Amino acid sequence: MFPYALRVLWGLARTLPAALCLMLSSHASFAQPANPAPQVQDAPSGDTARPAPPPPAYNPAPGYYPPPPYYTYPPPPPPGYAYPPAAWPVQSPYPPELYGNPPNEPPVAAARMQARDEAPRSYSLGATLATSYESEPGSTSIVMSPLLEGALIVHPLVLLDLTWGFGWMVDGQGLGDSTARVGNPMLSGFFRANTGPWRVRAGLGVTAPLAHFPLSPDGRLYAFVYNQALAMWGMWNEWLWTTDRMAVPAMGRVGYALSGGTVLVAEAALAPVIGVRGTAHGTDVLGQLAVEARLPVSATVDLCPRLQTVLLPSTSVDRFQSAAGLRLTLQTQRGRYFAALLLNLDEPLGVFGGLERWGLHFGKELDL
Amino acid sequence: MNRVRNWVLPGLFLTLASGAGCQRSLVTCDITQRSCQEDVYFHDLSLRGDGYDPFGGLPPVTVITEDEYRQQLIAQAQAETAQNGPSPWDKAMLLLHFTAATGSSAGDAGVGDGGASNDAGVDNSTIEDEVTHVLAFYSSQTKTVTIVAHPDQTGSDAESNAMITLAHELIHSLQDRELDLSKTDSFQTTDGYLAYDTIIEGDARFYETLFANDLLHLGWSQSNITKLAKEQLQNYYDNFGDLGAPLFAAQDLIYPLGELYEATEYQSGGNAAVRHGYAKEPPRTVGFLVNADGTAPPVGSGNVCPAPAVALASLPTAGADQLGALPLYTFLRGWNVDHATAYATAQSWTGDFLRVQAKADLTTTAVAWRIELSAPPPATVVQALTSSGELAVKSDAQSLEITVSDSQSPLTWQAVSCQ
Repeated sequence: MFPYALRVLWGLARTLPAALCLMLSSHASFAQPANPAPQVQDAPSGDTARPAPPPPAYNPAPGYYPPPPYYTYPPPPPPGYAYPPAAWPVQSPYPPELYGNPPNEPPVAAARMQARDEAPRSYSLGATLATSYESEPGSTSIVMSPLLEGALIVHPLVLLDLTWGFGWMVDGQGLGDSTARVGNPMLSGFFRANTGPWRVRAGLGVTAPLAHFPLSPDGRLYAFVYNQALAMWGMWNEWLWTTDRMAVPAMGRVGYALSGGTVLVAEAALAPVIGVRGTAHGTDVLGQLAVEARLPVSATVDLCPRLQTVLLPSTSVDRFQSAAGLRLTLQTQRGRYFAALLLNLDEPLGVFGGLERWGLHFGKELDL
Repeated sequence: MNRVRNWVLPGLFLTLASGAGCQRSLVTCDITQRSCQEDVYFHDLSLRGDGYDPFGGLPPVTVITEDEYRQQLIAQAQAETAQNGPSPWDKAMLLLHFTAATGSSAGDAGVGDGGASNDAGVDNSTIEDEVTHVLAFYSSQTKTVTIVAHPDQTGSDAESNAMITLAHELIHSLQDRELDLSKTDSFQTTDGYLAYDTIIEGDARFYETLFANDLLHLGWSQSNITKLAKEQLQNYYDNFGDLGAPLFAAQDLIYPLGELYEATEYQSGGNAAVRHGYAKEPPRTVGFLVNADGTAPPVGSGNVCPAPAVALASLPTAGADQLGALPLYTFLRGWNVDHATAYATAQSWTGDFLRVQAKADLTTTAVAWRIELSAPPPATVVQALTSSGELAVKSDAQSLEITVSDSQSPLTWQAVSCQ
């Protein structure tokens, strides 16, 4: 009985840091990396829960039940394949690195067999928490905008993605008077193709027009939350936040891996948006374009500068919103985490003549 | 070396960020020009701090000449005259001295009660007054801002005034995306409408004041913005006679009253408090008649016993209304009650019921107005109201009943049972 209790405690001790990490990053990822980095693994137990390793001095008495698992070591990863391939966090403004997939990717059939053999994970959850504050004479408002994302591989070449953002604001009036709104959930399908150093993704999405607020004395508070949420993303994926409208965005990303681990990425999207609720009416077209580089700083840390510009609706005073971002990523055994600053540059939201809006982003990328 | 190169781009970014922070400058400009309109709009956005709605943007802005505006007003007045015709309510307001026999405000433009009228019954003097003085206006029906170009109004002061007016009108366009300004058409009582309008106009006036502060470098700060609003309101009270007839005076007073409400919120907690102040706006005008310390009197339920009625089949009820505390204040001022007494009486308002009865041909109109108060009406109030002999006034510890008619023969008023 006593050794069993020890094993339970040891298992709890192992999972506690991960649980804390998940809580702090407002993120839940329930799956393991598809191609884990070299590490100690436990023997299969027949249960979904992984058995805890025995303590170093563990020396069971004969006939003790259950039998202790054995340490097994996975085969070493193929050359140049130090970290698990990252799926594209398709709705995050920050795509992950592109060097995750091996340069010579096996054919689809082989990939399927390998997938079956290794039982790779087919889904993943990711999250980004964007935050900013509006400091004005006499008041400060803190706005937070979590963006939750789930991805599912339905075919080695096809990925389904569901993204849903939320907005929450608290100001000097207190927590009880805080305001929360929901964004527009978006379901997207992505085709993924990798050829040599090139990585191409093309997708089509559709949003559900849940972002809405009634015209009422509370309307200004609600509008504030939506406007600030938009600003923290530099208007990127504007259709996730725009009220009373649905959109059908067509998205594409192209990446090119250079030697030394540097990766260049360009991504763009074009979306017709249609007014379907409230006072919104008519059709407009939104667009966005971004370039980003992933610059390795160390084996686990990358620095990713980014420039993006968004085509705003025809009713906007300025038709473009440009922003610059800088993201620091940290690769861990439990996935890739990041912290980023996004700074709007020009009008209407920018620091040069605009409303001086910015956003801090923290989160974890999808790690399929 | 690679590592060094890797830091170049981030370094450039940080350098860029550190040098940021240049605001769009606010200098006097011609509001008929698009760039000037954008400057005013962006400064409004900056003052309100609500961020930017790309689907909102700058509302459509139309620039028209004085002559085009004049033609619009004439056409509008003619249409209103043709559509509405004489109304028992117009007569009722006249009998209570809420309006004067001679039109005295833009609020009744085109009614043609007096002054120089053209063949269509349109009040030309009122229209000319508007043509000369209106700089811009916002229409919640068309969602557009119209600027009236005044070529003869030149110079820095004229441009500043025009910019401040445009700032006010653009605030209305922002409100229209949050509040639905056309809702003002759906209120059941004058009191409810005026209370709602007090917030709308007060908000626009408040940010207009902040705009003027920035444009003209007046040096007001958050700490003294309430004091400024109080002074402006007091200026209205002190010059009540300039506001026109009591009904129009009430419509004018909602601006400084609403501004004071917003300024009080702003001083307590900036824009955040103002945003929440919207959400807890007083539903009745008595909520804006604050004490010297800024506290509002109890709003009351608004429930009130019905006003008395004339029991004549030939004199059916044309309608009923609740005017509220603010019109009560201006009504009393119109009957020469001093500010302090009228204000205290209005603050004690708990409800009112105005009944209008009229013959079909409007040859006879009878008006009864019952006002319920939380304190006995001062004797000076009753004395002022009865001094001319036009009004019949009954008062008790908690109510005033005012009756008046234009009937040639005396009418018999009967109390209506209180439900």
